[in-house]
Amino acid sequence: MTPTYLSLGRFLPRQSPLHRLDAGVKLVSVVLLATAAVWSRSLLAQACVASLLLLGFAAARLPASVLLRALRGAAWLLLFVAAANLLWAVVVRSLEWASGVGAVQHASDLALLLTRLFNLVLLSVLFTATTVPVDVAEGLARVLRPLERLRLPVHDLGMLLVLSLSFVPIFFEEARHLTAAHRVKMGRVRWGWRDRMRAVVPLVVPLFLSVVRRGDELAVALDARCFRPGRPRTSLVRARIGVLEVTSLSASAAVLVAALWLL
Amino acid sequence: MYAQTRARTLADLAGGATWMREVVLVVGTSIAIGAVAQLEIRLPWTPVPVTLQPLAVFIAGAALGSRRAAAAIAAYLLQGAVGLPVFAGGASGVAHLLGPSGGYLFGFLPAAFAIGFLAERGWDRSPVRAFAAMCVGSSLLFVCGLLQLAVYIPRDQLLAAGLYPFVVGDLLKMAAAAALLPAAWKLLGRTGAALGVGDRVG
Repeated sequence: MTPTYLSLGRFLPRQSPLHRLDAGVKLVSVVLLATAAVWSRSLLAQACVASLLLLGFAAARLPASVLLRALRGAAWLLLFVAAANLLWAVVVRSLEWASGVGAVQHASDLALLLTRLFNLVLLSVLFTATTVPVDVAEGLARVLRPLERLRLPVHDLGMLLVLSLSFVPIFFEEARHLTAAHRVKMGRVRWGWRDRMRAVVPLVVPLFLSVVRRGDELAVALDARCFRPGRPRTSLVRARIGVLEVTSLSASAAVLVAALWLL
Repeated sequence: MYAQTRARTLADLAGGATWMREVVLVVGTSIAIGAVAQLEIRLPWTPVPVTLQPLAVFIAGAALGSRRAAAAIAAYLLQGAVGLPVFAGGASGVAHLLGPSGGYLFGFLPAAFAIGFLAERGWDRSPVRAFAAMCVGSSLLFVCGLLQLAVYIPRDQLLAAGLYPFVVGDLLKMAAAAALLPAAWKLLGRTGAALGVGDRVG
């Protein structure tokens, strides 16, 4: 059975180069590609980003249904952006449309926005499906380590992120149990929004208590493992820079450079 | 660093701060912000959902102080980025962060930090100053939100989609936070003083 902390996120275990890729490196690649997708104003560049991402999608051996589900989730955003821009075109630009030039220009603008959103959704799916959440926190702490020079508590922050990521699924689970218990006690079949609102109050206190209890347990567990805040920790997952990492970084950097300055 | 003699924020009233207590505070806050987001109201003309999140962020900022509040927001954003369903309506993912409404999520960070910074300087002790602090935080939130929204929708629709629908609701949230925080100080300050860790600055 998949542990809760995996099944709540969008991680899909597979044997693939993208799953093996170092989380810190993957994070940097994601930032580079996201920058390319958000800043670039050319359709060609967006196509470049999309093709690299689709290549990654194929390499990660993810089923297409994952992408389709994510796109359906983002349908609201896609629809809204399309509607807002079309409305603007019809109301404000109707005169320019008569000449034909405006219409072409506008269609390409809209296509640019939609491909940009598509790229971001694709990037997001690819990242979350191939990376275990806790690895991301570790990777982030590694990537941000140079900031320690600025006296930012990167180490503590990294630990905090790891803890928060492992805590969240536990609380979701706990909240689900509590609501289920509450519903059974209420003995009602249909739940309107008013029932939901009212059910929040009896949820808060036990949840708060369980936060405190878990915190206590965690403190004992950390103590037993000789954890001292601010001191360096070792990690089960070692940072590695191999062929895979170099390829990923150089490919995404190349796309970024091309998207911003060449295309 | 952890041995503080007087409380600067509400969270300090809980007593001697240990690393673990800080962790529970920060992680608990990040979860609370995610939980509040689950209840969203969608307005048909804007991609930005209405939630009680700003209220939670304002209160968290003031109650935890700048550094802890910023850490809690950072933890929250990361939870969402790695795929936990903590964004409005159970959404998640990098696409959501970088999409039209993501600026408001990033905006929580400076907003909470600024409110925490001001609260550490005593701005959350009186309703009027608390409200002023909320105004600062709220404007930072909207600046971030609008800047990112502007990438996706035409300029002349920007304010109609990203600012006007939320002004009244946010004023109410700010007022609620501005009323709650000094009241909490009054209530807890008294018990805190009885425990010997309360605020004596006023």
